[in-house]
This record gives sequence, C-alpha cells and structure tokens, in this order.
Amino acid sequence: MMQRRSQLVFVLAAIIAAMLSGCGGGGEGASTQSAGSGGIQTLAWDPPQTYSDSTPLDPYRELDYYEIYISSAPSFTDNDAPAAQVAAVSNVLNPDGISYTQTLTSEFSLGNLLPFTEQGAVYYISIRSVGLDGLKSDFSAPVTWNLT
Amino acid sequence: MKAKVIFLGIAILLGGIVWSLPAQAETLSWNAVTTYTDGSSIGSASVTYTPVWSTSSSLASPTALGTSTTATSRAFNITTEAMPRGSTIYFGVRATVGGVASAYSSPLSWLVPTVAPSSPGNLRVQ
Repeated sequence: MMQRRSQLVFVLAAIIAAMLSGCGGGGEGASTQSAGSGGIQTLAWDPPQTYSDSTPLDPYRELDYYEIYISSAPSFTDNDAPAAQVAAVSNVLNPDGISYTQTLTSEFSLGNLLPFTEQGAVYYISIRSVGLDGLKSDFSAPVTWNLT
Repeated sequence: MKAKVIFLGIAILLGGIVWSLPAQAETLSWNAVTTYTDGSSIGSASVTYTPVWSTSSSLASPTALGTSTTATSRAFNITTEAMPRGSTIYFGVRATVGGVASAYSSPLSWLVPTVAPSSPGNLRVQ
C-alpha cells in the first residue's frame, strides 16, 4: 500500500514537472535537459507479446501499465521504486473528435524523469510490464541515459 | 433397445503440461464413458465428448473447449481460449452416443494460473 502511494507521488511529481517545463522557458529547459540531442529524449520499447512462460499475451487486453525505473547504477532489484508509471493502453481521439482508438503505449518522454536527475550525470533506465493481475515482468535490459 | 440417456461416468482431471509446443498448453482429461444410465454396457458404440468451460459453477453459458472428439483428453491454451487468468473457472464434459447427449459431468473447478508478462523489448533512448 505504501509502495503504491509512493509510486503515485512519483508519478504526480513527474506530471507536474512535465507541465511546468511545457508552460514556460521551453527552449531553455530543453537545452539543459539532454545534452547532445538538443531536445527532450524519448524512451521507447516494444510491448511484450508473451507471458514469461511463452504463452501468447494480448497487450491490449492483458497489460495494465509499465513501470519506469531510473538509477545511477545499471542494476535494478524488486526493492527499487519506480519513478513513473504509464498505462499500457491509451485511448487516442480519432479525427472525428468523437470516437477513440486503443493504442499501445510504447514511448515515454524522459523529460518526466528530469526531477529525479542531476545535470551532467549518467543514468540507467529500465522498465517492467505489469499485467492486469498485478504480476510484474522482469526488468528489461537497462539503457543508458547520458545527461552530460 | 438401449436407454437413450447416457450415464456419464466421467471423472475429469486437469494436469499434464505439454511442453512440446512453443506455447505452453494445459490438458483436460476424463475417464471414458462405459455404461448407459441403466447400467448396461455401451460396448463398441462410438462415443464423442464435448468438453466445455465456464466461469459459472453450474456451467451456465459454457464455452466449448474445441470441437467434439472421441479422445478422452483435450489440450488447450489459456490465452487462446480467453480464460480469465487469476479467476476460477469450471470444466465439464458431456458424452454423446447415437446423437443423444448426456448431462454435463460434475464441474471441475480450476484456478486459471497467473503468469507475469515478459518484459518489454528493445528498450532504447531516442
């Protein structure tokens, strides 16, 4: 329960930070957020198509959300708390402005993680998928996020 | 003339994980029907079995587990059958001889196992 609350706090903090960065001084923020790219970078992944026992998984129906982890070390454990959560499926408004299309989430703006970072540091990011029953996948192989 | 109602002496068992397939399959099995309701032997008559599953213990609105078969087991895949992981479902089987079907067997309850999803692949910063 406490962990869940902690996760929500992280997510809210990330959302607020993202909103603030988008409201003012966007250019200045972008220039300092990810050296080398000139803009906010994006974390991307391929949604899983199977369970851990290799049975097929329908990510539209059977995935709940993803947990995104950030660390200064390239290893992650179950004791780590996620920095953010994103829904596995989102409803995207169609051009008709009325109907929605279910879309698999496969990207996350790393700008949302900037409140948890220090400029000039190197971080590692990993992600877990969480099924509707709450079971979590292993950590994905981490990627490096260089803020130098 | 044999009785037209079949005694379904079916004991269904769930088990036997078949690992020979790329995706894991479970197997539902049951004992063959051997007698009619009057106790007389079915003999060599062809018996087909219709396995079903339902989220209801009364097997209401059952979902067929594949097609009818003369075999006394049926392999199935949880995802393909859209079984609700983490929930209890009930299996039943009925036998048909000469176009006459029995009632369903006593339901077998089974907790559909939960399995963690695989981790996302090809994680990258772009």
